Amino acid sequence: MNKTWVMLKANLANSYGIARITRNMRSKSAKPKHIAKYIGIAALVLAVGAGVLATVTSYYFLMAQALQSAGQLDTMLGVIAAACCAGSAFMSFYKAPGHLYASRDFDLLVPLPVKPGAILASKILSMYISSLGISMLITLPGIAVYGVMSGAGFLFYPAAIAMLMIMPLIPMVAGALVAFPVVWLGSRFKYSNAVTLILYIILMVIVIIGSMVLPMNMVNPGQLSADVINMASGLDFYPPVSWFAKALSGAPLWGLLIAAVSFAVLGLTSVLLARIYTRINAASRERHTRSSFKLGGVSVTGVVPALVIKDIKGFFSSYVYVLNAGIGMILFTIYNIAVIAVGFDTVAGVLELPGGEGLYALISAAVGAFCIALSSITAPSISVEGKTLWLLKSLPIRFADIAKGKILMSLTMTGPLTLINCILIYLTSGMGFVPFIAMALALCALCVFTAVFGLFANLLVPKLEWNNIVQAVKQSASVGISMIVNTVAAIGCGLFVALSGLPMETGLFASAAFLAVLSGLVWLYLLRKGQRVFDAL
Amino acid sequence: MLAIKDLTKTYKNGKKAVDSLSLHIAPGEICGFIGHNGAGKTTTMKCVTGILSFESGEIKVKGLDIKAHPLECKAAIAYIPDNPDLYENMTGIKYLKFIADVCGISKDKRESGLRKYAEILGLIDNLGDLVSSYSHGMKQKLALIAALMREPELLILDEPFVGLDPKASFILKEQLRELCKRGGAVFFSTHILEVAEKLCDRVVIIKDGKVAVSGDTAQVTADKSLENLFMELAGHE
Repeated sequence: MNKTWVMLKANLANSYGIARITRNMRSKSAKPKHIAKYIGIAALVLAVGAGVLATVTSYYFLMAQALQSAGQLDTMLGVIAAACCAGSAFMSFYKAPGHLYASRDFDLLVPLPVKPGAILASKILSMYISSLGISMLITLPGIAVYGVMSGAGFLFYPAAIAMLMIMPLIPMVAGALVAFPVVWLGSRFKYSNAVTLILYIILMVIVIIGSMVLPMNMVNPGQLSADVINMASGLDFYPPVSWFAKALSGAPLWGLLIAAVSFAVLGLTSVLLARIYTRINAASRERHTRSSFKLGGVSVTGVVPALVIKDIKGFFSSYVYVLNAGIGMILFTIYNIAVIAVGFDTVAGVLELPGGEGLYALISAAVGAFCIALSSITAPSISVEGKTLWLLKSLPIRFADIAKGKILMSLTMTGPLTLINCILIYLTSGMGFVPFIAMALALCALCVFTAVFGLFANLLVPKLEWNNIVQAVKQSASVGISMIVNTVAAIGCGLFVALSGLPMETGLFASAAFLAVLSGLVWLYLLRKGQRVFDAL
Repeated sequence: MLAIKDLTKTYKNGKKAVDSLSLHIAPGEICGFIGHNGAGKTTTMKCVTGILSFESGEIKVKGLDIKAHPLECKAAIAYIPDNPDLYENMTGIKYLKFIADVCGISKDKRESGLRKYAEILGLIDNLGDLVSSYSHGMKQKLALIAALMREPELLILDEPFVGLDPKASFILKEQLRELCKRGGAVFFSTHILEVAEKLCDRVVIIKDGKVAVSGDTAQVTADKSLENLFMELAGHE
């Protein structure tokens, strides 16, 4: 346990750059600049956190009111526990391949006199900690609302928080278990990366379809408690959810049972799967030379196309990069395929979106905008260069060309898929040609904006030192900033289209123009100041 | 070919890695850069290649200031770091093609250069394999092919002999001499003092970021070996 803790501490210090922050704050000359940067990032995180907190709190409040009026307030505890477990399971399913199998420190840790189980436990705990913030954000407001409305005593709060910190452990282990066979199967193929990526996308589709079947969908708070009660009764298959409710309803021994079972599951998994874990990890890293190359002609490509090809290869070389940065485009495509397969109203019903054929095109455009906003492919594109950045810096190329290469790489990934999805929406919705062109233009303009802004953010706050690519493509400041700004831009344009009173196509054309201007301004900055900032990296 | 004047580089933590360093390498010269670990060799080389910025001093390549004319200078330089982190997701041939594309090497020149150096370094059969499958020495060879294929006027190498097998080391030394015969210059760091003594026309010994000794190899060593001189300077008399 002690060694697990030591490895976990080292992993966290490495992942979140604690040592770097401490060092930067000690440097007298650069201190003001770093303080400003950290304050800016913290302010952005706090602002977004506050927004999410307010939304979640109001949601729980409406739910609590409905349940209280039906005399079923205690049901809310089960809902909170279910939200905690379902959220953690999904996050771990999504994060497990990166956290468990993409660490560069694996070769460093395995030769050390440490049991493989301890390495696995430290990786699962690291994944758990990386998800804890979001898990708390979606559950603590519920606890606060329940506590206030039920008049709970002071001890209720620390007990609830302690249990909510333990509850995600089993779902995390479950996520890790799901990743095991996928990565194991992928590691047996020559193109292990591509196979793992395809398997994971298939699994993701299954999970999404499964989540539609399970009674865990968001409940309309305006509709009555019946929905919530039905949902809670459908969660009986997972005992810790009811244990959580019992523990907070005057039977604390159930809380101890949650802790005992959670730690036992973590311990047992670490011990039982340790050997397979090291074997899968070793197999997924195995590379061998064939030594059978016959040199023929070597074609010539321009500088920017060469950079684009290099970046596309880099993107697809890591399933962690594709799954994290390309998730939006994958979801947008799945959405459209689902609409074609089962109809818009069914999909809208499952996703809790407003239904009706008249809204199909508008809702689909909004879904598309949201998905594109998630696809910040350029936001980690400088960070992923990591130790190879010396190559770009020492070669005779301008930063402007490097920037063009990265932006074009992003557009190659998002542009064609966006257009195909727009055409699918056009063909299935019966929308007019002009609104279709307006929608396609607006969404393509958003693709351009996400690409240009992502690069801008990454240039300003790169994360070049990482031992797991997850840290660059998921946990870095530039990715968070980009996603927030992209989402704000998409929502802003959406609100403009909905509230301006203009015809939809006019609103979409105006949004496209606005996004183009924004992209142009950011591009101008990159052209004028980018080289200097890049040289200083 | 390379003129460094009063180069000073201070890191963010306030540590002066290079302190008023000056040196000069003429066309046709091989210059060995020697110093203990942390003396400032790699930092100096990274400043010359444009990887690191520096606050004071001047670096000129072929008479051009690296700060004012970075692209022209970089076009004349090929650099190989001590631990070449290359694009692991590419095959060797794709990596070489990328370097050739970015450096604007013509089709004929890239094909002949690539074949020549890949053959003599014994890597031609492995060019279809992923760089991630290469050993350290193979990566070093790939980086060397990429550098030599460009026919640079100034070749900068940081610890080039580490990881190379004896045959590759021998070939590398031959190629360095050949490059100098064509009018190019070589600036390399090494801890293998025998190699420096035999190969270099000039040596520069650096200590704590400052030049301790600089000059023609024969003059600098005089009646003692380079190893003895280095140990004297390091304070181990």
